[in-house]
Amino acid sequence: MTAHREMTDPEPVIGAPDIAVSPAEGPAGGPVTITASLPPGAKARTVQIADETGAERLRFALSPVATAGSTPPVPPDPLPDAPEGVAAAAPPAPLTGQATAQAPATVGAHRWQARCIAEDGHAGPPAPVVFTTCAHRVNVVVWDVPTTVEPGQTARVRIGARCTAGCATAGWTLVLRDGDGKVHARAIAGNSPWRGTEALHHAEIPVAAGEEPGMRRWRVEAIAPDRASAPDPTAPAFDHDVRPAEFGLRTVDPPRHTVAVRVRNRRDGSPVAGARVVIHPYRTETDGNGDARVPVAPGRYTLYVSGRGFIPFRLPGEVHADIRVNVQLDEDRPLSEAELWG
Amino acid sequence: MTEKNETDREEGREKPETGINRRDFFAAGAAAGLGAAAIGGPSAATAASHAADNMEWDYEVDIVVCGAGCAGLPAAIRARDAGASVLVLDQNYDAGGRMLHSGAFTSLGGGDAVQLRDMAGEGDPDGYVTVDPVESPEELDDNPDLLFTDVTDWSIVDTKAQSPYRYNERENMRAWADNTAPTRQFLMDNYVRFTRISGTHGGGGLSRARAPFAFYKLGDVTDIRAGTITREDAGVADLERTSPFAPVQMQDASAFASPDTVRNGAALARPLEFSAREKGAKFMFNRHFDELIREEQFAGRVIGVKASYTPRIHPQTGERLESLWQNGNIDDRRETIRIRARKGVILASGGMSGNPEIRGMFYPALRDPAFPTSGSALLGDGAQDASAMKAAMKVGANLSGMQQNLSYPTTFHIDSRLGTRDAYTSMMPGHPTFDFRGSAGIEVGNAGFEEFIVVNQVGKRFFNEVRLPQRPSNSRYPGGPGAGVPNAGIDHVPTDWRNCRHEWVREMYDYDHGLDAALAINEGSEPPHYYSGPLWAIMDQDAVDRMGWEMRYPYVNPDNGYYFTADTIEELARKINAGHPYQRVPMRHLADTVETWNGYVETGEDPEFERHVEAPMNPVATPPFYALSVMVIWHDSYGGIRINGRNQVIDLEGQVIPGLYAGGEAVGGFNKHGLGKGLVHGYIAGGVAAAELG
Repeated sequence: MTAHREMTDPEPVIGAPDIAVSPAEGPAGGPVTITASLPPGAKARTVQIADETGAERLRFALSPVATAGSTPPVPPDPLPDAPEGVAAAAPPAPLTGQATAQAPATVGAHRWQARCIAEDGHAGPPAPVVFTTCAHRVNVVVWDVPTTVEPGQTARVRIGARCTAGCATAGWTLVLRDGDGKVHARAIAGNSPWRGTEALHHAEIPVAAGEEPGMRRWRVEAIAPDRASAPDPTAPAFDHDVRPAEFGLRTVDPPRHTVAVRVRNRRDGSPVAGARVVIHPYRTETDGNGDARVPVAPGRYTLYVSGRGFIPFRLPGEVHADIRVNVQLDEDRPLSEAELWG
Repeated sequence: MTEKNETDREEGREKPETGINRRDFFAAGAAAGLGAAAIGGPSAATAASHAADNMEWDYEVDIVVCGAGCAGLPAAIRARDAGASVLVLDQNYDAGGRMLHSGAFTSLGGGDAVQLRDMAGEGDPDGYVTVDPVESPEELDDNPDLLFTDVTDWSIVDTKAQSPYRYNERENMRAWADNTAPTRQFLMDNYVRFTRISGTHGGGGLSRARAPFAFYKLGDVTDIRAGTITREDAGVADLERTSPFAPVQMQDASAFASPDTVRNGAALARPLEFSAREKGAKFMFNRHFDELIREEQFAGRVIGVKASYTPRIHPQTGERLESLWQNGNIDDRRETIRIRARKGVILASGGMSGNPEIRGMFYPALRDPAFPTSGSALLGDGAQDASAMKAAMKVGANLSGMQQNLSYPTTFHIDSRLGTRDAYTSMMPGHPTFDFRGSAGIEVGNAGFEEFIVVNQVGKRFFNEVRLPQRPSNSRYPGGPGAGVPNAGIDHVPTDWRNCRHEWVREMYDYDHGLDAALAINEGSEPPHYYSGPLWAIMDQDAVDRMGWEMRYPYVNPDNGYYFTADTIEELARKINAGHPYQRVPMRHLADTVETWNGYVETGEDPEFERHVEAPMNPVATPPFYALSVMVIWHDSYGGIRINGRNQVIDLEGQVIPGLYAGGEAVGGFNKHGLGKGLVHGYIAGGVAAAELG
């Protein structure tokens, strides 16, 4: 039948479009941008995209595009043997068009079809539109972890979950497990994203110090709420692939000594406020007078003082009593372009 | 042909009767008279006229200067002073080239006028230089012989264990040392004003102080003749505003001149441009010099150039950028034109640092176009593209000092300005080229590298971050161990073997190879080029808060591909991959790298790169997260065309190519950084070329 029609139909055959899909692999329910193009001179002006069920997902127009910037194509010189007075026709430009559809909510490989539609409604042969949808990645983020806690203390740690496809994670359950997998605490991510973020919903979670000094490892997972308890039970549910986060919380012996650090600018003796003072694992900053007090357990340490545009100061030593350290910092004055180069 | 005739009508010029497109716009100022036929004298000129007469020219002039920068402008002025007609071509929309964004630290010496002025403790005629001399009379007591010795000193080894002066071309150095003092006077005669001398510039020698800054006095009007500039033009009225006059905001010069004085390249480039225009030099901007026309490819005179139209179109408005000043401009928009040069062509169109293919000859890793040359937004894609070198080679020129492209210690470096492609050059909105970069960037200084980690194109750390921006010093006055020599100031002893004694070099060597680690082959490097790809500073909100870095326009721009922010590290990696023009591969290791790093911070030890040895480490933990581009910049060129002491280009047989001159970064064999080289070259070449053929 088809062959017979092609042989007798006076209309030109409409070819299948060239199809590009972006992203070739992306989140379920996310945007899928389909670009169709046809060679110069093609008669079709529209492309129809249908899914596996044959339902139309997209229909968009094709238009000629100049290939080099915005300059229209320059007609070539007439061929030497062209009859006089006959100007060469402008070469037809390729046709292209683009539109964005929503990918299916299901995870897996998809094979849609694209067809060119002629002005009279005649449809050309199909071209495959192939792409893959995957589960939404959810990243768990942990911050505000204190560098040290003492036995008996409880740290308040901030935990958030972020779906890469933009699903709101408000209402998700954040679960704190120890190294053996035992659940220690749960919290529900709140409605407001963390300041400065687009969709990082978060909660504070208590983490107990260990009984003995040392580093204790923790793991945090995020679990989507039940469908029934979701804010909008009718919204499509997507599969989520959660990447848990791990962190360590260091328990230290109760400090017995204090390292008092006084920080001055070597150039003029002025106090350096906000300088970073690190006696690993302890860390703090200097106050407005350039002073910092760091309570530490006895032991061998390296004191660093740095930041705020100063060259780092470093002093290794042993702490077995209260000590005072006067630090003079050298400015890290970047050389001007003139000084470096002229 | 049609297009040409239309241009003729637009410009109101007569169509040549001969039917050959020969024009002479400069007859009034041309010492040689009208047209090629008027060039008389020696037989070479007669032969030249035959060859040139048989060609079709769009313009005809005594001297064509290719490039309106620090060699081209002095050359144009000198040639005009000698009565020659001059046409200056530049691929950019405005004059000044690199000189305009420089610091105007102008190292000359040899007993120049500013050295003598400071030795005598005198001020300047305007009364703008009122501070006491910075250097003592002994430190300024200079002469051409001492300068020549300095710039050919075999014994100097810098802190990167390279020899900056040893390989310099001796004849060129002699000519340079003999012409530094006359060039200083020439600059001052053309509206340039200099501060006190303070030290010397890289490549300018170790024995004496030789470099002042060019400067203006702040005033109610910008007046080149009076040496004054408004705060707006200087860019000091608003910290977030740059002017079209000075693309880089001018710096305070009060320590070197007097209160309310400002310095940088705008105080050098604009006066020279002003003077050249005043003296009748013609300028054709948006015009890229492409090829030399020689009578025969490897024989005869160079008689002209071919040049193409290269407008700079504003990325937002779509309009062509126009030069600050217009007098003397010729606006010709034809695609390609041919310009006859009756006396000579002076190649002053810069070096090869903006040409990845050519610079890859010296460091293949820098064939990666991810890394620009300095001033890339200001000067455009056609700048520093090796056009002079390539054109000269095609007519038989020899090259010189090519190894010196690697032997200035900071030719290429990692810049501490993040979040912009044009990381070397500071600029704020207000200059017409700002939108080509889209962001000013954030200057974090060396110490700022302590606040973040730096990763390569696959998201892996590769070096101790705090050492990445550190640069080796260069060997210049006042010297001393930090500059690679045992003695400082006037105690320095030139040509003393102790300067490069083996034990001494071991002691003073001071180069971190972080730059080379940054350029190393990594998992994302693919054949044939094995590009190392872009570099990213990854930091968290705590770092931003600690340092007070302002993550907003104009410092960063979320749309220009050099700055990203995200709620999670994975998302940050995805955004970089999608949004940066040279991010060719996914940053698949970034999330693991950050997790590993945070683990190092917990333990207080960085076993990979030993960062804990010198600075504390900070976690990358508090959202949101930031990625700012870290740029490797290839700044400038030291190898290039071989010339003699008259700045004539020399061919592969050691012979002069008649009618061809070169200067500045286009020239090799002179490991002198910056302005002093180009200014003197232009001074020499303009004078010699103007005297050609009578």
